[in-house]
Amino acid sequence: MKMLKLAGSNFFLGWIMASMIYLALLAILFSIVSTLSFDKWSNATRDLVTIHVPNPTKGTGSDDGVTRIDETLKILRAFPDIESVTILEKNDIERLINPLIEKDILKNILLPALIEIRLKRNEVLPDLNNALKNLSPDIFIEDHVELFSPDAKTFLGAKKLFSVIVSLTLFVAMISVIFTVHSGLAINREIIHVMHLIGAKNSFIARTFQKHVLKVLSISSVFATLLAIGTFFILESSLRVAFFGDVEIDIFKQINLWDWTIFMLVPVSYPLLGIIVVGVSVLILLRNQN
Amino acid sequence: MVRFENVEIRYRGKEAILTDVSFDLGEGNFHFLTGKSGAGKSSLLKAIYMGMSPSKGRINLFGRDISSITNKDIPEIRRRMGIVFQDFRLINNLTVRENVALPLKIFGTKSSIIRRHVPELLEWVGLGDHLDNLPPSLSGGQQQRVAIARAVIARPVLLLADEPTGNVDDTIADRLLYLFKELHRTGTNILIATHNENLLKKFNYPVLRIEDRQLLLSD
Repeated sequence: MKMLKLAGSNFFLGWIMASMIYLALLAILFSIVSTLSFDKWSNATRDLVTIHVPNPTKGTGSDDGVTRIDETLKILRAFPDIESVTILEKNDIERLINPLIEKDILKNILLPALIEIRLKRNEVLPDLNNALKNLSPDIFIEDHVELFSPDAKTFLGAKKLFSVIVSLTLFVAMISVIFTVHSGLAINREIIHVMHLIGAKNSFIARTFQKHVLKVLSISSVFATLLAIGTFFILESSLRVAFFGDVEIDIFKQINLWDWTIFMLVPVSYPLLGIIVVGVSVLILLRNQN
Repeated sequence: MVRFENVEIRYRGKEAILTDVSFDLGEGNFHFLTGKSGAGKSSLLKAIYMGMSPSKGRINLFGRDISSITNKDIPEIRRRMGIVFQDFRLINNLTVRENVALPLKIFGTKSSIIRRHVPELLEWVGLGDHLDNLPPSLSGGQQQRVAIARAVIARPVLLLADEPTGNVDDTIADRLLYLFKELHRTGTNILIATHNENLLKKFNYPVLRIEDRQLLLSD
């Protein structure tokens, strides 16, 4: 029974809600993907450090011809909490330094040796640092977590931004619902008056509005969700490496049930919140009219 | 059931329409309310269904002083009344069937009962072929019958009808009056505002007559 005239506001509300739900879903998807990338990057860099050994082939001063790199490796082998030791090849070092230094200069400088080690536990790092400093003060350790901390800060900022976007969409959606109720009550004033004279309570009128709005919001929600999923499939290959550069993730393998639950909360919660807001708005506005 | 004590009715900033009106409609009554056009018949009905408050005096409805009735209680009081408005006040985007079903919907009646009763009543008032029509497609007389059907569908305790036969021919008017009589027989109290003197003569019920802003009771 379509007793209220809400065709105009339905159209307005439908599109606004669809747009807001679509934006919120994309923000949540991007947030999920960036979290997956961050987790993978975080796992990859945890307890990983690089030891820089300048002049690696230079002797240590002893008579047996032992070089600085040999001595460094000796110290590392003696350390019990080191899981793995990888000496980076010259090509790899050049590739790392290449963006920072011009090619001509690169040819003429003596590259340091870079040793990438994974620690069993990060607590041993100060002891290792002391041992290496004793060997030579210019040998230093670069902790990957600290090295990429600006990236982590960017990630946290992006995550906050996604939360702000979701909050804003929710705010706009609910304001639109209130606006629709307001205009709906004005347009249907005569009909509502007749309903009151027949004996309708405000709660009956609120339910009538809620039924109308629920239908509109449900259609908008389904439409926006399908559109967001479609957009996600189109962007999936770009999103694999969108965050943290070369850290590639397999999105569909890594998204878990909890992520999907958060995703599905948007198209479910927006209409539900919408009808609660409708109910409360109608009751408040009608009470103020009486 | 309806008791007026020295009631004055006036619209804001205007001269009083009715002054010092007192009457008592007890259980089992059928009254006509008559008077010249503009005499205040509709305003008196409006005061009964709480569409306006009296500027003076007391109105008692179903044993309750209306000044003590809160906004929250008004729907419950109105549910005991059926109102036929002079201008019908049908909802134009609802079909005839839906308009008549509206009070039952509002009262929370089961759909199966609504589906059975509404067509029966509409058949009775001669609109069985117009169940799915919208009010604007009906004549004035047909709309009036829809309004009457809507007012009586929920078997009100008190039926207030403002010129219910104003737009119908004599045959339909008689038929509607018999419907009202039948409702009265089954316990509905009825107050019909009309200026149709023929109707008053034909159906010998007590008449409340408004003259010079006063209400007079005549047999």
